[in-house]
Amino acid sequence: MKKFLAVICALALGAGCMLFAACGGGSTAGSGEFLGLEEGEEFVTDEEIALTFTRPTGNDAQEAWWSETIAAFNEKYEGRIRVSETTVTRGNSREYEQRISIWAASDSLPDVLYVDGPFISNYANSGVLIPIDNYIYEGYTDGFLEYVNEQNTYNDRLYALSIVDSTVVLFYNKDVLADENVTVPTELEGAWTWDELKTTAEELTARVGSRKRYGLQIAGDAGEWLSYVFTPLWEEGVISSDGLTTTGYLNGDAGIDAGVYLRSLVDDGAVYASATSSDFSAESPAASMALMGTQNISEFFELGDEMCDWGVTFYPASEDGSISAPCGGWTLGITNDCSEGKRVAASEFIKYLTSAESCESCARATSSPPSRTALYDTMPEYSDPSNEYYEIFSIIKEQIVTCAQLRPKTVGYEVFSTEMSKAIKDILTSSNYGSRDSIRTRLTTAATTIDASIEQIKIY
Amino acid sequence: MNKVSARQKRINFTGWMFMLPALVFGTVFLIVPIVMCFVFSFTDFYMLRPESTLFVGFENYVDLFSDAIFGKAITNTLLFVVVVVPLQCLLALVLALLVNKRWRGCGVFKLAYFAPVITSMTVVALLFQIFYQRDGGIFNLLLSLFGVEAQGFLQDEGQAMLCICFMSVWQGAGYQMIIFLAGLQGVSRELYEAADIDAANAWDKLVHITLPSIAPVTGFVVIITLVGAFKVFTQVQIMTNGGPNNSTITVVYYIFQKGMSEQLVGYGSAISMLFTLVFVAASLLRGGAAKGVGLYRRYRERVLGGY
Repeated sequence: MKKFLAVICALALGAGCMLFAACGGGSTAGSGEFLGLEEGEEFVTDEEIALTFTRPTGNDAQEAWWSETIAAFNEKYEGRIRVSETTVTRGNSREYEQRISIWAASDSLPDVLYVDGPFISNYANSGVLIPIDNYIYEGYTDGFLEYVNEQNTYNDRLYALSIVDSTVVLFYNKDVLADENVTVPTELEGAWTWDELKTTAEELTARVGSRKRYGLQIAGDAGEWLSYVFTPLWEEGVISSDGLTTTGYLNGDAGIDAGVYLRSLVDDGAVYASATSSDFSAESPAASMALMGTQNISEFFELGDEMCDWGVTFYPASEDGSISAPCGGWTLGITNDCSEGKRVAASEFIKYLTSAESCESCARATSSPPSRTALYDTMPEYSDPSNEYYEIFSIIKEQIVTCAQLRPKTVGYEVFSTEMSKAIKDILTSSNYGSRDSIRTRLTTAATTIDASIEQIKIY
Repeated sequence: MNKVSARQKRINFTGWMFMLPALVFGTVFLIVPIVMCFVFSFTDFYMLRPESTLFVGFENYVDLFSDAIFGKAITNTLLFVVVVVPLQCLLALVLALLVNKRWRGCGVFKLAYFAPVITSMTVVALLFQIFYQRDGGIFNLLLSLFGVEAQGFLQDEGQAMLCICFMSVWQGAGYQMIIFLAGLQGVSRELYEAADIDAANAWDKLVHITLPSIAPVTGFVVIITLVGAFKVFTQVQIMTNGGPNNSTITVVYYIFQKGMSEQLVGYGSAISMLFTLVFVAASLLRGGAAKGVGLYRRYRERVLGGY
């Protein structure tokens, strides 16, 4: 029996060592070394290259666009490149990112990955994604929004390209606001400040029949959403410029002010903090206004007549009138497990998806703001006042073009966003956070946890 | 040297063949992962970059002792065990005693008490999450009938863990009830008849006949409830995500958070190994205690002649 156990232990040790030894993908080309195709150069190959592509499952509009676009790509590149895609449900607990980790640990990443922008830093640092500037010709990124390129860059190397972007805007129920004689700002200069938003939300909070209608809903899970929506409230920043320290930022004086403000929204009865997005869209809404992302727009369109008559206005401004609107979307990168012989093909696939035509069709199909600057001047919904959706999309355009703020760039975005969201959720919903001191304590706990976790991640 | 006969060889071979599936599955899914976990616990294995893994000695274990959240996770887990194990076992025993009577409609109660067990913990946890809501939750509605103001329940640091305990006791008691019931039905009727002749009341019969007769079953129920309680995870994941402010974080949830969500496999493995060691130590203690009880019984039998 002892011999048997010894053999088993040796085998297990061997398996562990083999796991470490087996990991590690292809090499990464140095900066400045160009290996891709020049502008206008046709992709040629002796035999068809099979690419694997993974993305999270989207809503109906997104799914339809992906199916159509990948089919069109396979048709255009027939006999040269064939892309097969896999979708993974993301969920509220980051199942998608966990799946990527498992693939990374077992050397089974797909060739091309669709990842959320703030994860670029971590995936680049860990070598999950390779720099793609070796495969993208000079000038290709010029047409993209500057902050989108910034999001996709890590240590001065480009790791990803985006198709569309997203931002957070204030949705409102036109009928309710008209009944209450509330006028929403239509100019960026006149955007509500956070205090004005709170006052308006308080005014709109009322008992309607047997139920309470709140002024504002903050829907979303504790996974990331709350940190995404409220990061700009931390006017002195939430993390150090190197992305490694949150103590002194998240729990700094400005951070505690932000926490106190958020708590006052609940204490003064202005916010329905446990709402879901359907509470805003319902026929008898539980909230008159909602801070939500542009990704919700296509769902609202899909609801058609079941949806209330809604509009959007700007993300709230700080007291000095300036707006830093949360922005940043999903992006495409090539993984380290994509063999060197397939990387040019993979970059062709990414270029196809991020071409002006694809960006436009995706932006239109999914009602998301495009990542290319020029499209804001050519797409009618963003540029033509006679377009029926101009009222909505012109506000999104102005916000994206003039006051976008990226989510923090840190290798510890996973723990940062989770812990910050949990802290905000606790401040909004827990009965233990009624005082400034208790809010300070909660934010300090979050900051300490984040910093300790970031310290455990090795920086390369 | 003894020569093994051909028949004995055949018997041995058959024995090994019977053991083979258990050996293979036990090795692949139990022993290998435990040994790998042990190895990883001495490394800085980060799931996104496994090829850069280095052996760090006892660094992960040392870090654990200064990890405040790990301390909180242990405290919460122990609180869960201390509250849930006795309450669940006691409730299960009471329910079993009630449904052990032969009366009309007893089957309906058996089914009703067992129903939560066959319902997925995820579903039960989601349901209780709604029940515990501050606005419109059933528990707060009930409290309002008695003029008690709305409670935070899952949103209150002081109440959240107890709320999870209450739900877990309710959900799991049916399973233990069935085991107790099987034990109760094995108690000899003659003992009760003899007690009736001696004019023993119901309490005497419970204390002097029923409980001693089902002592081995009780031991088994306590052990499985204890093991299950130490592994509490689903309720926490669904209902609170460890919040508010880590007031419901448990050891297994923390292992998941570190090892999977944050991809820090080395650190997560160290927590797992420490947790396993505690289990092994507890098992040894239990084994030692059982041995002690056996020795004492033998001593009593020898010295006092069984009295």
